[in-house]
Amino acid sequence: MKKNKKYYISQALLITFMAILCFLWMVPLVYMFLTSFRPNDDINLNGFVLFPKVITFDNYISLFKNTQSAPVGKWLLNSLIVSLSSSLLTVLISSLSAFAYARMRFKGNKLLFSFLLLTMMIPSVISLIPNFLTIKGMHLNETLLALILPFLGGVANIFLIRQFLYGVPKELDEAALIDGAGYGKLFFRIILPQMVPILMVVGINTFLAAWNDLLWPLIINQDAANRTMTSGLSVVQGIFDDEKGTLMAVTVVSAVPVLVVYLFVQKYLIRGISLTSGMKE
Amino acid sequence: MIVREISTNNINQSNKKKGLKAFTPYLFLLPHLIFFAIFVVYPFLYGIYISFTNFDLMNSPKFCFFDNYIKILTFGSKYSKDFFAGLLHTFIYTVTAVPLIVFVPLILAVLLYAIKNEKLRNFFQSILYATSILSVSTVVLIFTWLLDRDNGLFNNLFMVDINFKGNEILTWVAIISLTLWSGVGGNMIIFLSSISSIPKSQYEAASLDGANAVNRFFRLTLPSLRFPLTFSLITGVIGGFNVFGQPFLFGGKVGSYETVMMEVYEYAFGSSPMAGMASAMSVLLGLIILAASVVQFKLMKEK
Repeated sequence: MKKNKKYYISQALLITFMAILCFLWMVPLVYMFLTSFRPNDDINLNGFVLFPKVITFDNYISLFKNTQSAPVGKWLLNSLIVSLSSSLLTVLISSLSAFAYARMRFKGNKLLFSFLLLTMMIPSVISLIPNFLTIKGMHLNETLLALILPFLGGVANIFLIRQFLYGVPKELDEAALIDGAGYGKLFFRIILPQMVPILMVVGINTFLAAWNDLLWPLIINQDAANRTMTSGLSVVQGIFDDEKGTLMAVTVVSAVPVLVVYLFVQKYLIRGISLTSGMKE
Repeated sequence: MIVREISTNNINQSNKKKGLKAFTPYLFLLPHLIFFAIFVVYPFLYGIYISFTNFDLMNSPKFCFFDNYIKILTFGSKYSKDFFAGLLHTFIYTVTAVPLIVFVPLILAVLLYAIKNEKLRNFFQSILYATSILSVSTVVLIFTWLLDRDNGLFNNLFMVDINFKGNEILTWVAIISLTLWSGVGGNMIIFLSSISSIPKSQYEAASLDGANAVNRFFRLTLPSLRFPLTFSLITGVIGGFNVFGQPFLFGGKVGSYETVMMEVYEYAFGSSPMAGMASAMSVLLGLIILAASVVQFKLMKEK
């Protein structure tokens, strides 16, 4: 009985503590939302207030009207195109490759794969300038392709998918091949559906990585129209210096898409984190 | 005769098929290998080559042996000052941010695990992780406004007047805070799922032996977290040495916040590009990162 009481008290204390922490955790986001609905004049004139007395959507409206220095609508579209195509292409290319390494016999399989793994040790900073030159040499700078292609050579996802494939029964392959299906048919009809869980993880991780990347898009696409949401956001501070309401509205626009994605794919994200850290599910 | 013909025909066909089959795996590998060669292998080799040249992004690079490296390592030169100032700031960031980004999530994970109501636990976890998916630009803008001297929530709520952009230490405090806010989620989930995978019977056995909560943590929880701790420490250090966005966006473009990555960015893509020098700095940073990873890995393995 005594132990029971102690148990409930400690649980109540713990939950209270975490609830307070989570509340504080959300405060910066809430402050961003609240400010984005305040008229800029009100902010400049009256300074800080916790809850805005006047609420307006003007900040959002003026935001999407500015198509010169901060074309936010275009940035959103760019980010969406880049993140979606990076995600789909990475899933396709990595799974084709992982399938070959895991299931096909060919000369140099192990050697080639070990070489891939070895390159994961390369610090990415060394490749920055050469990649810039390569993309420029292909005349792809200031295009969205510049933000997609360099990431398709990555190795980590192949490793993840290959590991996953070892859990898919090999009898599937044998049965299909005996039935006269080629490797293409086997891959697309039979193996691909089996890989959906890991492909979701790879796809979502790639989507978020592309959406959040800063340095590369900052370097390779410098025209306002070719920026992504993340790289664009890094240059708006100066533009909206006297319009903090608008500045927070842009920030909201940059945060909401990923937060919405998060609501729907949380399960896969969390599983992905455990997987990439090399643990079993 | 006829039988023989058919059989040779068969052999021919199967040989042809075999030839095709031997080729198929490479078709599966090809799309990736093309991008891998162009954007992973080649830039690594070419990056090292450029570091031995005087390349300025305009004229064709001229080989100059160790010139760039010598300039960087000659104390007192401009390049040496820039590089080592960058390295110092990178170190400051790494040494303060990385322990926090490992131990704060560890504590959070232990606390979350102690909550027996699974729904509440998952809810808290979702909230604390949500900020980790935001981009660095988003996070920096949110914090710049939150910590704004005149109109920010922080100063007004606590009735203080702190200028977070006023001096170096305060700026680093702000940078580390926003790094924590947007960075503890991932490690927390890693730790929480490894703690959850420790068999309950082991905890019960320890409790029966009279071990209290603190004892159980050090004797049972911590040792079983050795692998995820190594992982988050190494990825943390790699991330720390590569830090760019947070000080670049929060600390201002010039001043005492320049990290090595910012120096590389400035030297390579600034007004007067010195890609050779920037590459040499990248190679040095890369070597440091590699060495740090190897040392940590070895240390963790020995223990």
